[in-house]
Amino acid sequence: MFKKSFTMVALILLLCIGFTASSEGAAYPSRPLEIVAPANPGGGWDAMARTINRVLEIEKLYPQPISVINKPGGGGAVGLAYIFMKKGDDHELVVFSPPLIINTLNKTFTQNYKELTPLAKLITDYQVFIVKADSPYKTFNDLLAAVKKNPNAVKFAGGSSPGSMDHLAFCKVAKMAGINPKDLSYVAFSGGGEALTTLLGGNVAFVSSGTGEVLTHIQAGTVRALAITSGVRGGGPLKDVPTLKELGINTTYEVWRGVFGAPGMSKEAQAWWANTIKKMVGTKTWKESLEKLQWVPAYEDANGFAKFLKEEEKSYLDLMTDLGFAK
Amino acid sequence: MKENKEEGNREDRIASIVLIVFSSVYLVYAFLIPMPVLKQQLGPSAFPRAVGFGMLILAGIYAWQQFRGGAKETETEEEIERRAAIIGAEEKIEKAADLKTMGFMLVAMIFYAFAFERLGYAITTFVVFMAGVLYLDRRHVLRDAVIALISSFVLYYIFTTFLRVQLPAGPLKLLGF
Amino acid sequence: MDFLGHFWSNVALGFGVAGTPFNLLLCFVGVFLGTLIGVLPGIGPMTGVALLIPLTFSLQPASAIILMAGIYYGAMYGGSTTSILVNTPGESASVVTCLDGYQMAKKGRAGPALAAAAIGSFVAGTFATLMLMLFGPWVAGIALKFGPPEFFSLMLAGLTVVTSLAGRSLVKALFSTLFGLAIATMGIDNQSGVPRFTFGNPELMDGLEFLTVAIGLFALCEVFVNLANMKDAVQERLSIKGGLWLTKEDWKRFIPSCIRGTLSGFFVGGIAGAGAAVASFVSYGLEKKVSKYRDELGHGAIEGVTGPESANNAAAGGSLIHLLCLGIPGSGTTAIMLGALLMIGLQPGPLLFTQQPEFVWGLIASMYIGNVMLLVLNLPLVGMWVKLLDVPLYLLMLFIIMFSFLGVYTMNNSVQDLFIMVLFGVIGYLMKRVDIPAAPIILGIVLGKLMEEKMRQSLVISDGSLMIFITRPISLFLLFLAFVAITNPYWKQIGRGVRRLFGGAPAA
Repeated sequence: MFKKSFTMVALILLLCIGFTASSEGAAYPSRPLEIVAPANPGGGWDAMARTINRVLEIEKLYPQPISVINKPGGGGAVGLAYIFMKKGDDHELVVFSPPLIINTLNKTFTQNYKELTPLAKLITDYQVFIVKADSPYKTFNDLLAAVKKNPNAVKFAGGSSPGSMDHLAFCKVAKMAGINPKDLSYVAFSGGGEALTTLLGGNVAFVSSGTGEVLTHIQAGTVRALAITSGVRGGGPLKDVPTLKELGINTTYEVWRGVFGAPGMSKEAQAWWANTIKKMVGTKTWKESLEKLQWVPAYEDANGFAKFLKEEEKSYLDLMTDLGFAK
Repeated sequence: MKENKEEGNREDRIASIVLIVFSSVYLVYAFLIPMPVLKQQLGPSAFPRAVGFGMLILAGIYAWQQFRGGAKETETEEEIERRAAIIGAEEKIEKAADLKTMGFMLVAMIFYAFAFERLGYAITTFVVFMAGVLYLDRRHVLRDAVIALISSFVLYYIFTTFLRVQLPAGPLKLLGF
Repeated sequence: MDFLGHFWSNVALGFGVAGTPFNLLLCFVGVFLGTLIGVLPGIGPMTGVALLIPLTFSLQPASAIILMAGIYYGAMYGGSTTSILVNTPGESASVVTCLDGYQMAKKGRAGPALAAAAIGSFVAGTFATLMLMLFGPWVAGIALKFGPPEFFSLMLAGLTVVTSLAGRSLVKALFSTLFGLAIATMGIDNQSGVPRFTFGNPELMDGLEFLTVAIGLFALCEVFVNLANMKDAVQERLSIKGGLWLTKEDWKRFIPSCIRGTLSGFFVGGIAGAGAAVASFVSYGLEKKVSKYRDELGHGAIEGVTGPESANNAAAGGSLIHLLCLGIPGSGTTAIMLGALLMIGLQPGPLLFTQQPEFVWGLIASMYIGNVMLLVLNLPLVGMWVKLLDVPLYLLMLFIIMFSFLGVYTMNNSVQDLFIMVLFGVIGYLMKRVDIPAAPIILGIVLGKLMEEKMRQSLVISDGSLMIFITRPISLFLLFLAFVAITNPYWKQIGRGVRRLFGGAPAA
């Protein structure tokens, strides 16, 4: 009996080896694709990865099966470590956003993200600064004046720890407005929802948040958006929200999302993806998905993306050095 | 019975020392937590320090109870027994354990974890399951082999195909599973 | 009058939407898959809902949410099954159910335990839906009153549950709790971004997964305990003794604990938004304090199953109120549902009731229908599940090992978690040898992270003043509750002491 089961295992292993030999040498893409979402289901990275998966599948752009794998932990550190283990594997993609740079600069990540193969910047989102509907701060300038007068008294909240996006977005604005961002009083929550509850409960003065999470509240009038960090005004419920530039603060803050290949992706695969992603962002399915998720399209090809990343890093380095987060 | 009691006390003594060591190590690490960049009312190390001190004090009391000839609880026996109503309290293991069996299965579990991604879920599960069967009871090996096959290969197929849960394929990946 | 008329037309609208054959089918598929997902360890409601998101793209919004909600509460039902049968919690809210559920199974009473869990869940789920329907926006308003200080006080009150998990030695139980709190401090500190006890390991940056520790401490520990005297017992079975159904006596004990569990669960999990796991712990502590049969808790008392199981379902229903009325997810699973709704193009929140009535009322109606379906589906399954216990012990142990590995791996796709689980299995066994209870560790982990976080958030808001905890009425009330819970075992003694002090006759 014992022998029998072992024979079986041996047989299976043998079969595997046989198949390996036969699958080599085919044109790219020759194997199933794996898209790494460096976070749990439910977040932006996961939604991004699954949207790419879905569009590639529906539009039949990838001839092999596709799967999304969640590698949560450490603000993306686990996912990054995972993709670095796949060095040279052409059938691995990963989605990332600004924390890729932030967590590299503050040394949470031990790998250098520059080894990843940037393929394309896909979408973007912006930050809004919101107050409760009955707040005394009617305009962004009211708010800034109050912060300037006593930074410690005007508490602001966000859904992530100090030194990450929600916090940095307002620090960047404050710095431009001549306020020392180190004097600000920031309350960190674990998730935008918690921060919003705290705002609605009247426990903090304002909240820094991505637009997606608070759109419905702006629409319902329970909160008021005082400013948005985009270059031009948004649509829908955001059309009455002034941009920072309109308010005389010459800066923007972008929450981009892009897709990368594993480190050391072959030239052949890179070319294939450049072509395919370009096709993908042109499809109706892609555009519809973006509209549903209220993501702003921001396609940039590999070269444009790489250049953009360089600028982002410089901007973050300046800000984070000021605050002492960059190490 | 008396021997058992002594045995129990010896284990308690060892445990209390282990807990003191653990608490101390934790406390040392709690003091090594770096200061945050921005000043805070309560920094990141305040809570761990409090927890560490608490553990150290409790472990100390525990040790003192054990080395002072058993616990001198102020409560009556009845009260203690009433509180003892928690899971497993009544089945405190008094018997000497079958260390060989436990050791074998522990090694099997470590192998399971080690090979889980390398050989894939299906193969590893099958191997560990069969190893367990062969070690624990080989009277129904054929039946058990079928069960092992179902809980490894069939389950793998159900998970990946119907539930779309990714399980590591291991070498099976090359078979196109 | 007008309100009532409006109300009934809404209810009719809801059942009209949910009652179409297609939606009924989806509801059934949802609760069926949910039960399955709950039973399979590791694939909790969160993963379950996430997995189905792609499927929901092609559905009407109402149909999509009916499917997802079915999975959500189906999984809450199913999670208790493995807790009772094999001491392996299927999701975090079912950890407490292990304590008495598994003891009942060991006594051959797995049938009544499973039935009590199913009926308790049904009652609580229906109650929560009723609350959502009648008082949704009002409850949501109270929920907003729970700021960081209130939350901290709630957690502190929750911590007093430890006295009901204590076992023979309070010292050991307290150490165990602190050990849990210590585990909760692992990972990147959200309040400062500083890593703590991560030793440079990226997978430790989010701390230890609660279920990984729980499955190690309960399920694998049970395997070790059984293996320790396996040679005499390989062919033993945990077969059922007596009936599958609740006896008259069981019913008498079931009803009060079910009511208590439902109410406390709805308050803690639903209104305050502390989550289903905390709710189940609080309910267990409550049973231990007020039940007539409190001395039996821990030895397989039906209250220990009914209370927490009712509580976690009431909490799950309650967190839907947060999602629908506030547009704020009250739990990980509802966060995913929020994401899915956005993908469909719906904006949950204050406007949902007026803008999408057929959606909201359809969902509410489907929750009633789904709860009934779950009950009808689960009660016959009890007979099937208990057959699992008919397999020889050694096979049962191998199943537990396999399930644990499968479940823990699928949570984070992490091999390291598997090693951590095995480590906690060994720790659990060693603790058992020296009679240190494991349940307080879990309590510590569940409460620890929130407790620290909320305390520090409160202090930032108050600029460091502790007064914030006692100047706010809800917080003060919760602190008072905590005080009562801690001191009440000593009231008699204090009373005696006071009387003696004043020269009265010493009590007998």
